[in-house]
Amino acid sequence: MFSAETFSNTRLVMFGLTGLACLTYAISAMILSDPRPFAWWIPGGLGVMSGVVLWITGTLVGDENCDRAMDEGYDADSGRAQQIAFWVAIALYPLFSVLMIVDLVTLPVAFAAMGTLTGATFLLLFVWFDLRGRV
Amino acid sequence: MSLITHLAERRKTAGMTQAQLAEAVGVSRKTINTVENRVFVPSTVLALKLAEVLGVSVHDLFELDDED
Repeated sequence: MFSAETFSNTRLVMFGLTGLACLTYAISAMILSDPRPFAWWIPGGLGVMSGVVLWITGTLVGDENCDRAMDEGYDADSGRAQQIAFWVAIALYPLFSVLMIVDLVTLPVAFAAMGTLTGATFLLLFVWFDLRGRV
Repeated sequence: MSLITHLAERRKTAGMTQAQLAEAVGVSRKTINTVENRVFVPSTVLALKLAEVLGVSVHDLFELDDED
């Protein structure tokens, strides 16, 4: 009933949901010029919920299936997502500096958008690499 | 230099599905799929496990593309 696929699919869904929530938060914050475009705890809450759901799923599928779902293919996808997300996170600093200089965003909005964009980048890249490998 | 893989053919010859092969070598079905589609180059350990399960040499599964 429970397999490595169960864990992989759950991870894909939870990372995707959390990533989309972070991206939506960042875009909404910038469009509305509001550091709290909607409930501030939703992106973080989804992140915590992802951890809990994955822990429960991991317990249900067992250690062997968890290892299979976190094999070298997972390491490769995760590593690539981390590498790109790292440089995107670095690039956000000069980008938002310019946006603040020209008064397009305020510091609180930049703070909110950069924080959530950093998380969204890794999560959505991982989901993209994972989905691409399944086709 | 890229890697040419014959994993899919060898797996089908052995009458195994991707899921069965993945189970036998302890990885996910997706990893087998990415190796077969040349998206992912497996580690030496995984290559040896695949060859062992399929009863062939690693050279029967993978070869270097000399034209690159």
